[in-house]
Amino acid sequence: MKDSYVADETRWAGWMAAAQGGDREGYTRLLAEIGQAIEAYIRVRFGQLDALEDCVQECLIAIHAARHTYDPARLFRPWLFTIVRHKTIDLLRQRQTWIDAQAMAPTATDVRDTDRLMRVLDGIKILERLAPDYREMVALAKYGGYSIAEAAAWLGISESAAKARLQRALAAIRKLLESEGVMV
Amino acid sequence: MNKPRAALIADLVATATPVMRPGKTNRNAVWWLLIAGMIAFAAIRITGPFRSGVLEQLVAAPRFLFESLLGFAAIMSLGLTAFRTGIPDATSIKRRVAVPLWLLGAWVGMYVLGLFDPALTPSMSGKRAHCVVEALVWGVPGLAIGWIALKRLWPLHGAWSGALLGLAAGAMPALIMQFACMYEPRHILLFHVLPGLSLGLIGAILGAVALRPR
Repeated sequence: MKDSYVADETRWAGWMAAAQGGDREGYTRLLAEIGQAIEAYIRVRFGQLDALEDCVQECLIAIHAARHTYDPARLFRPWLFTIVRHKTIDLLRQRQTWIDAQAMAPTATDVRDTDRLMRVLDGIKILERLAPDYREMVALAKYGGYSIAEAAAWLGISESAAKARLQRALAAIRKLLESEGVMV
Repeated sequence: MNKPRAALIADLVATATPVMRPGKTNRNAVWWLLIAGMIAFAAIRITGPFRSGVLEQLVAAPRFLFESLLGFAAIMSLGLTAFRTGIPDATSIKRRVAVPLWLLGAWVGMYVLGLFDPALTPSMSGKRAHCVVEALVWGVPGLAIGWIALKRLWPLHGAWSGALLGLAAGAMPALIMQFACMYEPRHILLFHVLPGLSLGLIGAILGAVALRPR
């Protein structure tokens, strides 16, 4: 995980730096690779959206438009995923609400178990009320099935920071559930 | 959008001309701070004299020097952070704006404290006829120049970027006015700081409307 993370980071940063100078071959490879990474990122954080491909393509367009702001002296991944996160949230807001977009996911994945569907929707309702940082952490570690190390790598923070963030997020969820009179 | 991703990538690559990097963010911000500060300083100097004995006051009254330096630090921090918000970064916006806003609050707080215990003996010496207008107007060129620079970047939080830029630009004439106009904390708060910092509100509104990424 760590090796591929570093390798991706180095390769993407190099390609983007070259693309800023006009290198089209590297830029083609970069867009193809980060397209896949963006797709995985959106799926983990926001679920199986009905408009996943639209989101990915909008993100690629945004990255193309913002490519002059990438500083090769800094890490590529935080720059990339900050744009992706903002763009995706913008798109979700445009498509009515976050809940609406998420509620369509079980239909898309053909979930037949009503109980499971209700549990997913309840989870999303709680997640929606969390701060964005906490929401991402819980989505990665609890819904996406990522390890703390992997989640930390995705978010560009240290493992200890990720652990602390997850604990705070879970405490916030507990508080929300308690405030609603749900046994925890 | 129904185009296959490969076709979109081909289109994007076809239009991928070399781009000019924005350069070092901090360096750009310092240049902006210098230019905007010089404009505000020159405009205030041209429209009237500075208060006589102000340099002696800076030396003789350490608290006056301290509150002036605090204002300078707040302006630097606001300007640097405004430009940094133009580059996409994983750090949350709340964390980014905390230090400049604390510094700004501390600077304004010094004048609030001065209502009860002023750093200098309040006096009408150096009073300027239109200081309230000047404190507002001489921040506008700085805001306009900073706006053009920020538009070249990619501010994801337009309202915050605009507010920080407006606060930095507006705080410059507000601070310089402490050396040019009369020293009296109530007058400073109402006629220098308030109009200067109102540029922050203007910047926030403009930023929310027009600083969104394309």
